Amino acid sequence: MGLIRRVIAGDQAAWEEFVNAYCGFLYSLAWRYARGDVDLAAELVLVALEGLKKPDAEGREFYRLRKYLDSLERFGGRSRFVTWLALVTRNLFRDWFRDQEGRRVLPKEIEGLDPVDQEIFKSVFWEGLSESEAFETLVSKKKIHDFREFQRRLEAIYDKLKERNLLGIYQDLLRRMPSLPLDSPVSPGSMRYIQVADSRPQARPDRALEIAEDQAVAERVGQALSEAILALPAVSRQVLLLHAVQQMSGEEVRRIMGFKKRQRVYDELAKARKKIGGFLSKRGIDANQARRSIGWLDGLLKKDEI
Amino acid sequence: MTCPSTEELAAIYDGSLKGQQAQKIREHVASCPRCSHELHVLHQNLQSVSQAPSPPADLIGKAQKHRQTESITPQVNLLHPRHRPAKKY
Repeated sequence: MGLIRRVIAGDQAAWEEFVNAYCGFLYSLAWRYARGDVDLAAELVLVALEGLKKPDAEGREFYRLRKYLDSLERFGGRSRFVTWLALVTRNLFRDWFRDQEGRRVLPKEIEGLDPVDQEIFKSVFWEGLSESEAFETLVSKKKIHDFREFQRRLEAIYDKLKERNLLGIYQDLLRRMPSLPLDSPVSPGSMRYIQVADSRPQARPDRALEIAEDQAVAERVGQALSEAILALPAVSRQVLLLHAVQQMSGEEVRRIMGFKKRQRVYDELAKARKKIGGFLSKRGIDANQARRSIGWLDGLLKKDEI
Repeated sequence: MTCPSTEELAAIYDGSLKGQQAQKIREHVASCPRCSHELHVLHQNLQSVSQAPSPPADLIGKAQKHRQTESITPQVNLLHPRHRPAKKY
């Protein structure tokens, strides 16, 4: 912590030492958000460093680093500095991306819908929340109570967007927002499969998984989902994997599958979703719970091919 | 309970926060989709660090050269696709 104290005190040599020590780490975080764009990744590193330098209301620089040091003294929770830095950096990147996007304007079709639908649209398409997260956020705001109603409204929003062929545009926006549970970057040529929990202790994702789910539930949901997908008709399964896992657009899936109309892709997806929901409910698994578990399992557990 | 601070969330992730306070935060995180999402993303980000390439050679020097009082926000170039204002649909 000596280095951070010296940085806060305005020691330029300490700042250079700090940059030297953490530039690689910041670049690694930026790399994920820049999606392979070298210039953007470098730009994001500078954004993060600038964010760390930012003064407080009284003009004292490095207010974030001051807050970190204060927290160590206040509640004695000695988090690793890199953990804290990763959290802060992600927030700085998110703010920067939002600034770049500018003030968003609701599409005309969505403007015409009621305020609850507009909230759903903003949560899913602007904030990039998964369906279950958006639902729970709206429940906490007491805007909606029933998941079926939420799904019905979301389907209506998708239909509205499809009318103007804006769905592709918004899906693209979603893809650009990193680190979403179901929108993680997929390396070229690789498939990302639904995973089941790894029982080895060393593979357990530390405290994060303890907080969110217990392993037994995660294993059960992962297993049931894998079986549900395997039980789908081959065409529906292939469409689902191309669209949801490989994140291909409706048009790309239509081309690969050789369908005449793109609507067929959406029909197959709806069919797959319905069948999976039915399969899970027969196993006594709530679809909402399943979505939440998948969000948590993604990236945390071992990669098993289903 | 309100959402925990960045510092508290980091300490929870590292398991360095103990006692009743930690328990309260854990309970909050388990029921708050935003905080759960934050932790999930944090985990993904930390996991992915080893997969990234090294930074360009000139980046460290560039970042070090900026004095603390200088802004290092890049100039906005409206001709650059990334800097163009968002389309209004």
